[in-house]
Order: sequence, then C-alpha cells, then structure tokens
Amino acid sequence: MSDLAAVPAAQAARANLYLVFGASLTALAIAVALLGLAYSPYAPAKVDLLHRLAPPSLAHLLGTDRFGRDVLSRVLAGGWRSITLGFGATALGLAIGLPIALLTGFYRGRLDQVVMRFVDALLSIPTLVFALLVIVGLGPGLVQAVLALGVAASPKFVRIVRSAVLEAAGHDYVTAARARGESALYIQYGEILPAVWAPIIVEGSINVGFALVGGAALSYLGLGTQPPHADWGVMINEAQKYISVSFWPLLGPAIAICASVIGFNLLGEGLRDRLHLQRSLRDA
Amino acid sequence: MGAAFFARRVLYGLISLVILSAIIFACTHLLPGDAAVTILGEGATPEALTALRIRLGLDRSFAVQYLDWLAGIPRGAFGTSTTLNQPAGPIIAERFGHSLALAVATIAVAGLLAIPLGVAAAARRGSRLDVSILTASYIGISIPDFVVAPILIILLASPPLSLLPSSGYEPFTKSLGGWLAHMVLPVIVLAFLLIAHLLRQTRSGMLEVLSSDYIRTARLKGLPERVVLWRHGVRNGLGTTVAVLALDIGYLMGSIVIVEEIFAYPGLGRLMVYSVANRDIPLVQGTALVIGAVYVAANLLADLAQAALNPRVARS
Amino acid sequence: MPDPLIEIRNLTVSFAVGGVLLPAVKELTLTLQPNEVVGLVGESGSGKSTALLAVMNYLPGNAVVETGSIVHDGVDLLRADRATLDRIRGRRIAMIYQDPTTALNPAMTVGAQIAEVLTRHLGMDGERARGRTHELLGLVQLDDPPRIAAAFAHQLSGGMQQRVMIAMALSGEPDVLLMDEPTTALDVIVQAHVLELVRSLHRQIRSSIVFVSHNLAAVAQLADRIGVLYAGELMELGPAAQVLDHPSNPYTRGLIAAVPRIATRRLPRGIPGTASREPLRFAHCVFLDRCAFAADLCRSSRPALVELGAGGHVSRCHFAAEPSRIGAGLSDLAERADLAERADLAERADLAERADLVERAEPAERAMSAAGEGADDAAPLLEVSGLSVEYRRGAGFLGLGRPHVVRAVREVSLRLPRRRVLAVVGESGSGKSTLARALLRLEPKTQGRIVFEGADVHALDAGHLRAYRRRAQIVFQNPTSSLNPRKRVADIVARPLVLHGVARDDRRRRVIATLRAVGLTEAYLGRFPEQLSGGEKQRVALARAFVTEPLLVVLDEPTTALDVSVQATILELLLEQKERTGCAYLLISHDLAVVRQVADQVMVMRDGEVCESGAAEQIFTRPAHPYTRELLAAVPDLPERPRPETPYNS
Repeated sequence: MSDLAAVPAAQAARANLYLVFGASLTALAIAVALLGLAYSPYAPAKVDLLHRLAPPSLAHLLGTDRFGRDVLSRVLAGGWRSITLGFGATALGLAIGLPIALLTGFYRGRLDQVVMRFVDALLSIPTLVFALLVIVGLGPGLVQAVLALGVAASPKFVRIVRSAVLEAAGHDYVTAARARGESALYIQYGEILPAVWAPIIVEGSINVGFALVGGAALSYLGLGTQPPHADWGVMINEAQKYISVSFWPLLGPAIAICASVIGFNLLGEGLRDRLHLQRSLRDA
Repeated sequence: MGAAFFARRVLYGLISLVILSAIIFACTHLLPGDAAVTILGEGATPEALTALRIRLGLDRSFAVQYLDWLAGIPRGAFGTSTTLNQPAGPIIAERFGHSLALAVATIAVAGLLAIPLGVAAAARRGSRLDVSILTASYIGISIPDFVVAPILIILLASPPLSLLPSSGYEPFTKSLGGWLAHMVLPVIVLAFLLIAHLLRQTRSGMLEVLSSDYIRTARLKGLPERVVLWRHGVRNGLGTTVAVLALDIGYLMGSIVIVEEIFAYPGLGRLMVYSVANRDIPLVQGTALVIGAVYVAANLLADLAQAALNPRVARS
Repeated sequence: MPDPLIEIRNLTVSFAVGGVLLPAVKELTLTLQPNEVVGLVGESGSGKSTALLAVMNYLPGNAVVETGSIVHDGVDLLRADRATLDRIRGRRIAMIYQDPTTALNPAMTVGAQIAEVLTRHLGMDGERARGRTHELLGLVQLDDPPRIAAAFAHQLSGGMQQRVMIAMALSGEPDVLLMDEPTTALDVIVQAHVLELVRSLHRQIRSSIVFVSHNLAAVAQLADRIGVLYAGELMELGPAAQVLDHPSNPYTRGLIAAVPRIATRRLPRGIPGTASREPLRFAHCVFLDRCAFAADLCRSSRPALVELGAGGHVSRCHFAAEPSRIGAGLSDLAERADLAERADLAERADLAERADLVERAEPAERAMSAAGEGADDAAPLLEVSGLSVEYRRGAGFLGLGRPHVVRAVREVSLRLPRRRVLAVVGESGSGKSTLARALLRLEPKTQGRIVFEGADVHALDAGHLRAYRRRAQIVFQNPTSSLNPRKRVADIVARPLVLHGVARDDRRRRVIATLRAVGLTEAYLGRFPEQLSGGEKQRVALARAFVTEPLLVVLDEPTTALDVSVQATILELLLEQKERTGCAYLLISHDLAVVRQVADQVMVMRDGEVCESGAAEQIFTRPAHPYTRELLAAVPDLPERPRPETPYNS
C-alpha cells in the first residue's frame, strides 16, 4: 500500500517494555557474574557442618546447603560459569555457523544443497543430545560443555542466518555489487553481513539464555562443571534430595537461572519487535 | 499429492538418516579418548588394551567399522553394549517403547491445550486473554525442566500429599494404574515446556495468516469473523502449526533426557545419560540414532500433513 | 438526479504512528451516482487506497477517523457495527484488489471462494451456487468454467486470477464495485483485456465503479468522472473530458504533463520536488512547495474547492477560475510548444529549466538520428550476436536428478552506437531483463558474442575486465532493493571508485560532482536509504552508476517503480547525462509510452526472441510484426480529443 503502513501503538509499547525488562535482567545477571568473580560473602567452598540446610538469616541471606555452604555465595560464584557458558557457546556457534551460512547463501547451487542436507541431519538431534555426543568424546567439564553446546548450536545458526542471507542476496544491491566486479569475500562480508545483523543479534541473545540452561542441564547430569565447583545446575542437583528439609538451596540457583533466561529471552524478543517495527515503518 | 512427492520425501528422510548415522559415528570415534582405555582404566597393560581393541573391533579402519555398524541397523543389531555385555538392540527397543508412551501422552496433552489457546490468542490480539497467554508462555519457556520437576515433586509426590510416585516405572502389564501414575509427573513437566513453545508458535503462525490479503478478501466479502477465522484462517494456519509440532518433537526428545533422569524413568533419555557417563559407545550411538530417527519421522509426517492441507505445497 | 449510491462527506482519516497523528485523507467529499464510473487518480501518499478501504470500513488498527461520514442507503458505514457491515460487504459493495495472487485463498478452490458469497448473500444451495459460479466465470470470459472453478489460485495465470476476482466481486450482485489498482500487477496486453472486460461488464451490469489507480491513462479509458488526489486532498474532480482537456488545478496539469504519451514523441515534464512526508495540516495549500504558480495567497490560506461551471467540475486552487494564470490546458500542450509558458516556468523551477534545455537539444538529436545510423555504423559501442541464455531450474537432489532447462534468451543480436538509446521492450517472461544482465556477465549460462568497444567481453583478461566493469554499468528497477540499507549515500556512491583504486580526495570530489549531476546536494552524503524517497533513492542508484563515467549504462525498468511526476524528472536527468558524457543506454522497459519518449532504436522481444527491431519512429508509426501491433494497441493513452458525451460530462 502506498499509504502509511499501520504500526499498532500497542505493539511498539510492548517492544519497549520487553527491551527494558530484558536489558535490566541481563545486566543484572552479568553484574552478578562479574561480582561473583571477585567477591562473595563467604568462600563458596567453605563448609560449615553446624549450620546445614539452614533457612535464610542475616548471616546467610539465602540459607545454607547440605554441607553448610552459603547458598548466596555459591550462586554468585556459579554465576560467572553460567554466563560464560552462555556467551561462549553462542559465540562459538556463531563463529562456526556464520561463515558457513554466508558461503552457502552466496554461492547456492550444489554446495548449498549438500551443506543443507548435512545441517538438516544435524538438526534432527536435539541440542542436548548433540552436546552429550560431544561430551562422550571430550569428557565432562566447563570448557568441554562450552565446546559441546557451541557446536550443537551452530546448525541452528546456519539455518537462521542462511535464510536471512538468501533474502538479502535477492536484493539488487548484491547484484549491483556483482556487476561491479566485487570479490565474493567482499560481497559476503561487506554487503550481505551488514544487512543481516538484525536476526543474528536477536537469535544470539535468545541463544545465550538457552545455552545457559543447557549448560546447567549438563552440570545437573554430572557432565558439565564437576562438583565441588559452584555451578547452578550442580546446586540444583544436590539440593533436590533434601527438598523436604529445606527448599532454599534449590530456590537460590533456580531463581538465578530463571531470571537470567527470562532476561535474555525478553531482550531478544524486544529486539526482534523493535527491528520489525523499524522495517515496517520504513516501507511506509 | 502424488506418489512422486511421497517417494521423494521418504528418500530425503532416509538420506538424512544415513548422514545422521555418519555424524554420530564420527562424533563418538574421532574425538579424543580411547574407548579401551576408558573401559580398562589408565593402568591397564598394553596387551590387555590390544586384546580389548581387537575384541571390540577397534583395530579395523574407520570406514569398515562404520559400514559394519550401519549394515546391522536394518536388522536391529546395534552392536554390543560394553558395560552391560548384552546386545544393544533389545535394550534400546525396550527403552524406546517407554519413551514413546511419554512422548505420545505429552504431545496429546500439549496439542489439545496449546493449539486452541494459540488460535484464540491470535484471534483476539492485544486483548487481556492474549496478553496473559503471552506472558504465561514466556514464563513457561524460561523455566527449565529441572527446576519445574523438583517443585512438582515437592508439591505432589512428597508428604503431606504424596499423590504420585516421584520416580520409577511400572509396566502396564503389571498394573495399569501404576503405569499411568508413574507417567503423570514426567508428562506434566514435559508438557509444561512444550505447551509454552507450541502456544507461541501457533499464535505467531495464526497472526501471520490473519494479516494476509486473503483474510481481508474474506472479511470484505461479508463473511462473519467466525467463518473467516475457521474456514479461511485456521486451514492455512494449521499448516504452520503442523510443521512446528514436528520441530517440537525434536525439542521434546531433548527434554526427555533430563526429565527421565530426574524421575528415574527407564526410557531412551535415561539410557543416553547412562551410556554417555559410562562411555558405552554402542549404546550411545544406537540411542542417538533412534532419537534422531524419531525427529526425521516426525518431520516426514509433518510434510505429508502439510501437503494434504495446502495443495500448493504438494507441488514442490 | 437520482439518489447517490455512496456519499462521502468531509472524510478525514489519520494514522497514529509513534504518538503522532499523520493524516492520510483530508476532508474528502465525493458522491457516487448510480451507473457511473469514477476514477480516483493519485500518486503514492495521495490517500486513494485509504479512502477506498474507508468505504468498506476496513482500516488498520491505528487508523483514526477524525471527521466525516460515508453514507450508503441510509447507513453511515463508518459507524456501522460488524453485523451490518457483513450484510453490506460483498452484497451491496464489493472490492477488487491489486494483487490477485495474494488476495485469493491458496488452500481453497477458486470456485468454492465464489460459491461462498452466493451461499451467504443470495441463499443459494450447493447445486445452484455451483451452476451460478460457472455462469459468472463465463461472464468474465474464462474458458471452461468447470475446470477453472475446480482449480486453485496458483494454478492460474495473473490475468485469469484477476478475472476470478472480478467474478467473485460480481457474484453478490453489488451496486458498487471498488477497484484498487486492478491492473497494475498485470502485463500490458492482459491489462488491456481486463480493462475492456470491466468496460463491457459495466455496460451490461450497470453497477457503479470506483476505479483507483496511479495510471491516469488507464483511468481515462473508463471513467465518466475523474478525481485527482494529492497528499490526501481532493485537488480536482469533474467530468473526465473536462478534467483532462481543461485541467483547472496546477497539480492536475503537472500530472497530465508528466504522463508519457505513446501517441507522440514529446518528453514528459516532471513535477519538481517530492510529496512532503511531514504531516501537513490545513495551514496552506498542500501543493505549495512544488507548484510553479504559487503566490502569497497560497502560502497564507488553504484553498477551498472552487466550482467551475454547472457540470460538477471543482478544483482546489485559489486561481482555479483563472486558467490562464496557471498555464494552458491539455489540448494546447498537445498541439504546440508553448514557449512563453515555458519561459515563465523556467524562472520558478530549476528542473523545468533543465527540461527546457533538453527539449531544445532534442530536435537536433532527432535530426542526427534521422540523418543516419550510417554515421555511427562504423564503430558501434556494443555489438551482440547470437546471444543465448539458459536457466537451470532446480539443481535436483544433491546435484543429481534432471533439472528443468529454460531458454530465457534465444539468439539475440543487436548493435548500439554511442550516444544512442536502444530500448528493449516486452512483457514479463520476454527475456529482456535476462538479456540486460547477460551483457554485464551476470548470467553464467551465456552463449554468443558480446563485443564492447571492439573487444569480446567473454575473452577479457583481468585488467581489461576491470576496465569493462568501469565502463559498463547497470541500474535496477526497484530503488529500495538496489541500495544497501546499512550504508550511507556517500559510501554507496563512492564504492565503485574505491574498488577501482581512486584516491580519497579524488573520490570525494567525484562523488559530490556526480550527486550534483543527479540533482542531489551534499546534504545527502550522510543519509541512509530509509531517509530518502523513491525518486531520491533512484537518483542515488544512478549516481552510483555514473560515478565511474561509464560509456554504457543498462537501465532495467529504471522508472517503473516511481511516481509519474518523479518518473519524468528521472528521464530528463538521464537524457541530460547522455548529452553531457556521450554514453549510450540500453533501456529495458515494458512501458511503451516511456520508450516512445526517449528511444532512438527499439527491439521488441517475446519469449526470448526478437520479434522486431529498428528505428523508434519506424516501430511506433509503422509496426510490422503482429505482436508489436498488439502491444502498441494495448497501451492506454490519454485522449487527444474530448470524449463522447455521457450524462455526466456535459
């Protein structure tokens, strides 16, 4: 339509709401992680057998776990692991997925067909299962978990970025670049990539949240960060058996995980709405 | 929708499976770590290691090992479990059955709840119903299953209520009630996440359909909204929903791993965790392949369903 | 006079965007009488589509009806409830849309979509509805109605889909048909058939029609009355003959002058500037900044609709009743070059002056081309022989399988001398765009010889290939798609220079000079494409092509996506550039009227082959090939003489 495209005011407001909440929660999560690197009220490994499974008090704001360790300190200490895992896995997934998506989206043809069959096959394995496959070979641990989740996330990124690349490559500015005699590398990274940042950022933020959960799941299963290191997934596992006595050791890491994930999700969704909104206003 | 379409889709599926098997095999064999060492320990003698390697067939070339494994699959032979010393096939098959029961129940519950709610939310966009549904689904997606599960266990499976068992399994041949009871909590946890996911996808799929030109045409023909929504809208929106459902089955398989572990439910997921933790390569391979095959099969069904619903798809 | 079917009174519709109300339709008053065709003409942003949707009360969620009413049979449609509207829509008032492909439900047979109107509004049962559906499909001149009724939308061609839409709209036996650009998405010949169909249906069925379009010539074929919209305001309304022959509004005049005519070779005159994106409200005349005749009165007060004579002709201009004040009418413009008028204009508008320059240069050029192609035969810039291009559709599975081969271009030959414009015309699927791309080596499966400046383009070494890329450029149809949204104008235009290793200072100088040549100032350097209008974007695309000072520019439908008033200014620009630099153009177009204005040679293509080619004048005045004749006959044109009288244009 040649007349102004309709952008519901409610939608714009909601996008902003998501962004605000999302950004605050993610900022909070990152702050907690950074804080935990440097400081915690007690040493996370400090055992106090006299005060096991204690409810919250002034001394222990979130209570203590079954070894008498301060829950808050362990949440703080585990924070950086989870956040690092989230960002690390996402960065790795993008580092693998982006170049592949740009290549196949640009060249199309046989290369594209073969690679996409491959990617489709990879996508049949759930992320967690794929991560487990990688762990089988590498063994458990934080670094291994980052590698595993990163590799597991890359097929998804290839698929998403590739469809954005295909859309961008259909535009005439790419054909104009070809007509100018630009090199393939320039077209991929100098013309197409700048145009597809938006979905990358959106999917990236959302993936940080899911990688975080995936990492916690791996630790929960005993295949990620190993005890006695503080880690939210490990903490939940340990706390599970003693729920009937005290649920605080469960609540601390649970809230931490949920808040972080909601934060990253909202951030991603808010960005997605924002960018879509911008696009529709542009067409008006 | 012709036989050609069907045949092509089945062929695609099979090829995907073969590629999948290659990837799985590669993952488990090319990564650092020697299976023989893992089993016998660091202190084993070189002779014992060599003997074990020969017994496991690890001395042969990669390609031969792969093809050997692949050839056995149509017969149901997945090799021999290194930790349990039994053929892997029957173990996997049994566990598969248990997981299948969970999956079917979860999909039924989730589908019956999420799809109508998603359609309703899209039809009444911006209303209080829509907003509350959206919010609920956000929360649902963000809470991991290993957080939901313990909470449910506290509430329903522990004193004072103790309505349901918190773990384990009972075959339905022994007791139907018991069989069902052991499934309830895992299904609730699995459905929780699946509903949130499905809800959002259904809603956004329907929203897209409802903003298309042919909906405008239908409304401007004087058709009441009820007819527009169901005859014109859902017919097209259902196609996307079906596709999403297939994707969600893959998602479900991932959740099953954790949930079965939490509830000590003897399914494929629990088997996967066990075999990874103990580096039982044949079991890992077989389980991963079956999980992937479920996804491929689900996708195939979704493709066929979409073609039946939307004739334009059937041409491709 | 009988009761009007629809009375739009003082309608103002605005959109709430980011907290601000942007008006799309301002105080529109219009009535629709029984058995008449009203054409609403306007460019983008005119509000014509919004007005149409308002009649159906189907406005987007953020639309606000600030004032006005739309009354049909005693009911104010804007205040009616859904149940009332459901009774009226489809039954009393029906609508036909621009893009039939998306307007039809892909999952239902077209017959079912027609039948549901019959069932709902006329109470027919399944059997009768089916029979009537077939009748309707026959009425819109579709062969084998039962087969069509059982088909799905994607199985039908564009023209057939639109006929189905028309049948569907007629099925409720409505009094009013609203048509929103019904032929814009169709090929020229199909368009002519559909327009003819609409005309004959109107004679048979006697529904009234509101025909909305940006194409004045198409509207002129059908309309009894014509209304001209600009930026949401009704600028002029009256019997078609009067509005076209004696336009009494500067915008209408500008619009008419901007329409390329296929009947004669006369460069159309564009309207300088662009429609303002600011929410203009009522303080002054909305056409102020682009009007060549603006006076202080126009600045200080908004003109009301002035009545001219008894025939219902009105115009929104302070000087509507003084036609000499605002330039001559259509007949004058068509008959003689009004030097005095042009001199007057030249004082007020830059581009008008440029058009003047071009018009003066034209006769000389025309003489040159008439005098002899022979003079340039010696060294044509571009010579193509036996060019064929293939497409492989579907790479099969994993590279195996039988791909479907399409021959888009078959054995095409042409010669293009310097300083000439060769136009390649054809409908969609003719292969003209593929040909254009093949010339720039953008098509991999190309066979045949392309010789540029004496050298075979396919046999160039790296250095000469780079030189070729500098001297041959291409400009595309869609200005939004041709510019990378993440890059600033400066980067976009400078990039070709960067690629060819031009030094930074030189680059800046050349970029600014080129921008100026396309009518853009330095202020545009830092802007992003989304901040530019369609015409401005196309100028940037042209600047990008011109900055390397090419000898050959391939123009693939360069003005098709632009408003008519802007189109003419771009054409002027192109001709000016050609004069200045001596480059040659290969112009791809489906718009024969545009081609008539600028081409020296014309090549007509169909299904990848050349049907006819030769000097432009020859092709247009004495076409030899039947397809060429059919194409030419299908192009709607503004009438040179007044149309026959009907009750509504006396």
